[in-house]
Amino acid sequence: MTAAIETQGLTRRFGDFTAVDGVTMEVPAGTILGLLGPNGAGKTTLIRLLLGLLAPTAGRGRVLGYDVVREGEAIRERCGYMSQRFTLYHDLTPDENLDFYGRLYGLRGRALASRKEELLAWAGLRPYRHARAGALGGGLRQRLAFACAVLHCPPLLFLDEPTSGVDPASRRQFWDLIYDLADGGTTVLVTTHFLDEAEHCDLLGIMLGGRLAAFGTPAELRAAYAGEEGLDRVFLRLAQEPAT
Amino acid sequence: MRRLMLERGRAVAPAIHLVRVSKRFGATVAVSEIDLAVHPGELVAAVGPDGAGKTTLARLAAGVLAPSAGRVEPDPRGRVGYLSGRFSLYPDLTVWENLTFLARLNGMAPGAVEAEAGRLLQWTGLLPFRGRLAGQLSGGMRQKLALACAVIHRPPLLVLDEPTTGVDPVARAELWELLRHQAAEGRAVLITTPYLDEGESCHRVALLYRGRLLAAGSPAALKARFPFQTAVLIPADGQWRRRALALAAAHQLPGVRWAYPLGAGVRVALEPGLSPVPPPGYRLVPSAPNLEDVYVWLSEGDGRSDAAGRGEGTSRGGGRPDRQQLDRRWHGRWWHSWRWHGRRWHGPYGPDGQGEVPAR
Ligand SMILES: Nc1ncnc2c1ncn2[C@@H]1O[C@H](COP(=O)(O)OP(=O)(O)OP(=O)(O)O)[C@@H](O)[C@H]1O
Ligand SMILES: [Mg+2]
Repeated sequence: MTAAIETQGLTRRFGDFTAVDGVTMEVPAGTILGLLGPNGAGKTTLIRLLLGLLAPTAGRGRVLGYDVVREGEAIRERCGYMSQRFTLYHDLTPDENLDFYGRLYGLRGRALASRKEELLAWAGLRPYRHARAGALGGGLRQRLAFACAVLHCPPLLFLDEPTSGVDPASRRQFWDLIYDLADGGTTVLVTTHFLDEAEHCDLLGIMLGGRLAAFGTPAELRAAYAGEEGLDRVFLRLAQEPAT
Repeated sequence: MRRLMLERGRAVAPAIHLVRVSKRFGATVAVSEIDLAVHPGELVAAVGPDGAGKTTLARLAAGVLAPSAGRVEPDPRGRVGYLSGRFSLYPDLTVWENLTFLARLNGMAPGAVEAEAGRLLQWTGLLPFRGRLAGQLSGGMRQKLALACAVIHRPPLLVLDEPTTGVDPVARAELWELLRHQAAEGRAVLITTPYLDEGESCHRVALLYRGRLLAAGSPAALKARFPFQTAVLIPADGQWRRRALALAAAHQLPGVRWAYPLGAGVRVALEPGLSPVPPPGYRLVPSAPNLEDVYVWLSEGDGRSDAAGRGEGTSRGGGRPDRQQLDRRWHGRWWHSWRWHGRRWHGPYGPDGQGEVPAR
């Protein structure tokens, strides 16, 4: 099985602060990896390292076979990234945002138009297609950002808190789409603060203070840390352990 | 319509009153004739799904947007602490500079600024990062700092648009502690959230649906209006079956009003007075109505009337959440969508350990 993501001791320091601390992991293609951890644990920084948007201070990493330090461009071309920050164009409409991102990823003409319609319908954004993206409420913006990230059907998708601020019914919709993508062979790395979502990932990583404190399938983590209890116990136990 | 509230025998005027406000953006009606008041000392949540008009309502209440019709009184400008979804932080100032700059901008006495800033940073866990540029904070840390900036100058009115978004589960419980504290100190607090269970810990909840106010009142009062019995249909062997099967079984129950998948089973609303027998292979576990049920009921039309929400209970007495219960509810519960009913916690890992997202 080929690994979509492979890292060894990936580390990033800012001054004397270590945001990502020796992360070693292997993520097989076609899996959903969920990253959990408190605010400031290093989840977003790790994603930026994997996308080659930030250079590691130490360690190595390969994404889709490309080196994160030397071949960041190739990685970004092939990956979809839904950033935690609002990266849409405020002054453009949802329609125009999708057009823009589509062209950026080389989609044109009919292919772009039909994919766009499909996603606008999925996201329930049709009534808002001519509104300014900046004026959309939190949940709608998330849906638009998600649509922009999956527009070009990338083999690897980074979703940074896609469902934060999204209502419960729509969260289910997001996950239906994530499952569809994974079933179609897409590898998905997703961060979340919702533990019910974590339960349905193939693999889980729990980050604490920059370290990958736990990594494995939900069942493995439950067995290792909490017996038969839920993942919430796993997280709580880890989060309360003094950092070593 | 009684808009004044009695507090220790004195009439207290609302800190903010949205009087039949509407807001149109071109052809889209974002907010339609909403009437809602928040009194000093009250914590009110405007709840609804994406696109229900929460953000527009918050912007109207904060005075950053003028209504197309209706009025907002008294004028919130100059006395509101406002947290918007878009961050208003200065990315190239440090955490400390952002906080103290905003406090002074809002006319806080220099002597008081330092102590209050220190206290808020302690509470948000940002104290070790006080020298870091705001632009270099993680998303959740930025959210906490923005919240601290909105409350530091102790404005009499707080309007917070989705304050819990992106905040980790442990911090979320602390954030609710802070919100309750703000209200207890006499401020009027209006928050928005897409999560109905967050509304359970507020004094009053305003249920929004497509720009309209379905109803407003204390969680207890809203639930008391709910006319059906609620229960959860669960596969008896504890095995998760395909959602579609369980859902189909639920729809076969006599007197079923609606059914939707939730956690390990299917949540059903049934005509009152019946004692339905579950189909073979299933258990039917009674469960007290929650705000989600009320919302489904009202938004599907059964209970909708224009009177809904207008005669909202303006007395806080029965509606104030019991402090002890809230503590039980939030303390150590870092996953916010747990629901407390029937003396048990129900949620993604509740008695049956299934999430809200479909199992694979
Ligand atoms: N450019 C930077 N300079 C200094 N510190 C930084 C920089 N970027 C990130 N950090 C710090 O690294 C830590 C990890 O941040 P990161 O954004 O990865 O957290 P996160 O796990 O994504 O948190 P959240 O759940 O809040 O999104 C934080 O303390 C953050 O302030
Ligand atoms: Mg992050």
